[in-house]
Amino acid sequence: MLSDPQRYVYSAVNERPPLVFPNGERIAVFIVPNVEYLEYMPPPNPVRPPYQRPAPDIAAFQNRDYGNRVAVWRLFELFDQLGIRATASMNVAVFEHFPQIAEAMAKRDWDYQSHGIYNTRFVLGMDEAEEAEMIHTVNEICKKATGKYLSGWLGPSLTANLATCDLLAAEGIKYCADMFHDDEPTEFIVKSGKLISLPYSVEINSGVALGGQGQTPASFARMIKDQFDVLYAEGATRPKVMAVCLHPYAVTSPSRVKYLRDAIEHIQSHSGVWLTTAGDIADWYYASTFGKRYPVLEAANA
Amino acid sequence: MPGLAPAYNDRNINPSTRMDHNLYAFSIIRDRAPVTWPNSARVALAVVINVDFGDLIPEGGSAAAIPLREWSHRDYGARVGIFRLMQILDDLDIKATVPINDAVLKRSPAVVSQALDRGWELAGHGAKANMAISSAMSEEAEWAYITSSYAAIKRETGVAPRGWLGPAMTESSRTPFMLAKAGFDYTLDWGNDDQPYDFLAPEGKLTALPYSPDTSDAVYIGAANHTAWEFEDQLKDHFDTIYAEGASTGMTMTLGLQAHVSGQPFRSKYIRSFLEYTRTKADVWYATGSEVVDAYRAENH
Repeated sequence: MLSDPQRYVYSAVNERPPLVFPNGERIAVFIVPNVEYLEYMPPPNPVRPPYQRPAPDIAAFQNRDYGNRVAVWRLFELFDQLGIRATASMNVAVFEHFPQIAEAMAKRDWDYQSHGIYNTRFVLGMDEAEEAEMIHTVNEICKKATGKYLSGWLGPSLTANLATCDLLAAEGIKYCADMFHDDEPTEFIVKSGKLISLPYSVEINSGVALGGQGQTPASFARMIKDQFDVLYAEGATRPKVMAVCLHPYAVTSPSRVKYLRDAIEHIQSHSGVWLTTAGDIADWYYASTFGKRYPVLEAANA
Repeated sequence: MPGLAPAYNDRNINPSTRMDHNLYAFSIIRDRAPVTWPNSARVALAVVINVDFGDLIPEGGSAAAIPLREWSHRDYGARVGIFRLMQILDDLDIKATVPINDAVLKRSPAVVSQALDRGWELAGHGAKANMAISSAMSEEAEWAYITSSYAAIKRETGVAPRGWLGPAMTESSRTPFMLAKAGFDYTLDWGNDDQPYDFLAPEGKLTALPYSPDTSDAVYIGAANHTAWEFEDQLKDHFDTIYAEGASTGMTMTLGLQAHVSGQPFRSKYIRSFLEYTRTKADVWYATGSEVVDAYRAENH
């Protein structure tokens, strides 16, 4: 039995010193399109099958393929119109299959969070040496394709191992997005180096809301706006961080793009919002706050 | 289970298709030459109505729990639902394409005769709703399955089918090239684009007429449990975007219906309402699957 991965200390949200953003904003928002590739005929993984149906699962495959052929281009146009610099969560094989997508992101100076190589290649079943090599390979693929290293990590299809945080810190990755325990950045306990958590979301997430939950596009836009409104109100006294987790095939398909526009315009209509990338939030956190906020953690790390 | 994961680094990128398969080539919609439809229409809208039949107790199945409810609900499509949708489409002067299980051809001949009377198109849809293609099928069994559907439609109607939609949205990795070899011209199995594109079949020629999951009642109502009015909203939103983008290049939209689902009285009024909405717009080309594919091939490719 293992009841706790021992990666962070307990800290009640209302007992911490409030975050102080660069210009005194109430909320930092980062927008994360997950740009994915599911292999047509992936090799089996002993822990979890790559697809729910036997391969080729053309229904799942073609969703992501629609994203790369059509929807991500609609998303670039929308974000250009709205002035959004995004944090792309990448199955980095996409950069190698389709260098045009890497070029389009690099041209816009996006920020990158890894989502592994393929969404059909999980870290489940990897030993530490192999996972460390995979993390390094992914980081180098990103650098080669876009000119920038990854700022953060989200496991492929949200898979992780117990040692993953240590391996990420060793690679110099700034944040891990695989845990959902807070509305603010927190600090992970790692063997060496530093690693923080940024609050990614399995709620404000088009893969979840529009996928398994079967929400309508209008409901998903309302969820984004409601999440923002509550965090924005709370942010008057305790500034918050919010992720908007998207999948182009799901949010910029023809029937959905107008709802995403509506949700982002709602966020942009407020003052006191730091609409930025995950990498910029992580850099700000390390420069201003790291090690000063969680006394118990400092003691644990000492 | 450390050390048991498949090798992480064996990426399989086909240099000509850029995909991890050789079925069709990657292509970015914004980089393509404009597609031109007849009369410079912005949108080619293909209404597709599936008419299905499934065995009450499949071969080897158990008779312990007789699924009369599901069986008879599906059979509603061939007795009632299809004719309600025919009336709506007649009123709006729209022709549909009907993927039809082989079993429906003989069991429900009025579906065939009334569809053909209207100049509608029948498309292959496999033997029965409960008999889907899978990777577990042998190549010989899959070939027999596909060619039997082709032959059955040709035999019952005198006209060979040109389109295909597999039951339950399933394929093996052989299916697209096999469809081309069997004589099919287009497939509705793939919803990964908003314009037609060609497969790279070595024998025959197969074009994808993208059948979006977003505009399919099987997905939006069947799997995602949305209401009929939410489906209408979704269809209008989808259409509006495609219509706007169609100002610079011809786009396609399929309306994917099942006769036993969208042919239900309460749902049918939202289908009518959506189609009436599209009728208020100029530059919409209502076409059968074959008409779209022929125009795509003739004018563009």
